[in-house]
Amino acid sequence: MDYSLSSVTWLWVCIPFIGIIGLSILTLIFEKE
Amino acid sequence: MNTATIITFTVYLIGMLGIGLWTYKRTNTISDYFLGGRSLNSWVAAMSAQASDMSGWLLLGLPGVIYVSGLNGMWIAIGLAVGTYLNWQFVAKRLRKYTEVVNSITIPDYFENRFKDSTKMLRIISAVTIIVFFLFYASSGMVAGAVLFEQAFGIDYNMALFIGAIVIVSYTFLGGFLAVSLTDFVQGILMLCALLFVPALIIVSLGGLPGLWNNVGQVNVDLLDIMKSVGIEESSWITNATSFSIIGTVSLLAWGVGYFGQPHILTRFMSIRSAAEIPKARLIAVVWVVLSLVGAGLVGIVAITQFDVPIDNPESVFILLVQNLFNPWIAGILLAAILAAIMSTIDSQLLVSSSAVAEDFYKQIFRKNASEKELVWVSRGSVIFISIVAVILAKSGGNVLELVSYAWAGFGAAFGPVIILSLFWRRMTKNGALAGMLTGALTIILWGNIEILNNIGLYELVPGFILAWIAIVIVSLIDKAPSFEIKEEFNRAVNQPGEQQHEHNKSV
Repeated sequence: MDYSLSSVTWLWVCIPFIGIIGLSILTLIFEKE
Repeated sequence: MNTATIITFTVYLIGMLGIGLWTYKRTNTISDYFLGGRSLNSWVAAMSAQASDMSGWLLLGLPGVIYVSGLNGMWIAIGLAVGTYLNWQFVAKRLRKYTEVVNSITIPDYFENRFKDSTKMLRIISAVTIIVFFLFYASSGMVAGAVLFEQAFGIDYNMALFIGAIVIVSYTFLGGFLAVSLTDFVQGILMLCALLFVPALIIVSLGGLPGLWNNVGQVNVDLLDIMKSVGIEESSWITNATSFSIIGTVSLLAWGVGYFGQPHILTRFMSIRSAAEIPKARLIAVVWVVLSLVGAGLVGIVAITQFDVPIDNPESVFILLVQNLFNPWIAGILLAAILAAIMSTIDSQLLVSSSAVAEDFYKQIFRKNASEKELVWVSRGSVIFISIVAVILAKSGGNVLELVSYAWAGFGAAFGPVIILSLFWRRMTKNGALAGMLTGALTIILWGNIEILNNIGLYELVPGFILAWIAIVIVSLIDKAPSFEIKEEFNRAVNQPGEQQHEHNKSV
């Protein structure tokens, strides 16, 4: 039998990690004093 | 004892001492010693903040948690990653600007100057909090270092403790902040490489991620489910009957809230060359923390497939993997990464504690006119004194993780809400800050001692943080509004452009 990660697990792990990297890139580009 | 491992360890330690000696000549003023003269570029500030943050816990504790409980343990990693981001996003820039506007080089310094507290109560209470909690934090790191030396070289525990302490104290003593930041930079890179290299090689040997999931799934399929709680009982992985727990998950996520009050991390924000460097530093820090947390999680997961029966001490998974699978020369470098993680945290904590002694007690109470040189030497003396007390505490033993989580909660609750509100709320008053600090610290101290509260199983940082926040708001609103001068300063700190360089800090 093949095992894999459930989509819920992928989402919970990936969204926060990718989200904060994405937000950091966006603010680096758009943040102006 | 393995010769190759000893040689790589020795070369590494000599390298760290070399950085201490090199920066010794560049350290003349107290601002140099504690903030590196606010000269750090975005790379060094970011890596130094992260390496100071992540102690031996990253290579020992987190892989151990995930080895035992599977992906459910990733909640703590998610909490920490999000906490890191929020701290860099909302606290870093304002704190950098505000500490410059009110001319402060330590956290207690900032509290006093921010609220124009002539009674010195804020400074003294925060300095005492720093010294007490960091003594335990630093001693837990010394214990972890000694365990590593003991396991890696088979030498006596006390000897291991002594050697580790000598090396850490030497370069903190010599170079102060600049040495600590530069060694942190090197150590941060080493930690990340080790955390990516070890699981990557094993995953390739298992046939990629699908191979990994299959091997782990055969042990217990719930290890692959973030919503299922698994534990080790009688040498096998069993899914817990209670399964997913809201209180347990909130407690794990809540570690992230602790970031706002950690002095050894906040000082990195204050030391960056210019506020304009912060967005770049933030990205570097966030990428580092995500990669290293994912790496540490994967170390725990791959370890499940590598041993026939669950190992006795889950926290030694990284050490055992490295010793079993790698050539002794490579193993030496990878094990040095654990030492790097421990050292990069303790040295920063020693420095912040010594600043509390020199700046907040010696200068303020005993010798108001102390010269810069005198203060640097008082700080160096404090590093030695605090280290001796930390070693004595370490010799008496104690549970490393419990001490770390206690100190983390203490700082998070006592300082976190005060730092955030002092940067964002003009109406906050000195008495509000005092009330918040005391409420946060007392909640942490009392919570574990009241059985009915302790039995809830909630991490004490959660109630501590919330109650401190409420105390600040209520007391500040009851209190007389802050003076015109304080409000003006707040406006300047919040609206000040971030481009200017900071040569004038040489004379702070």
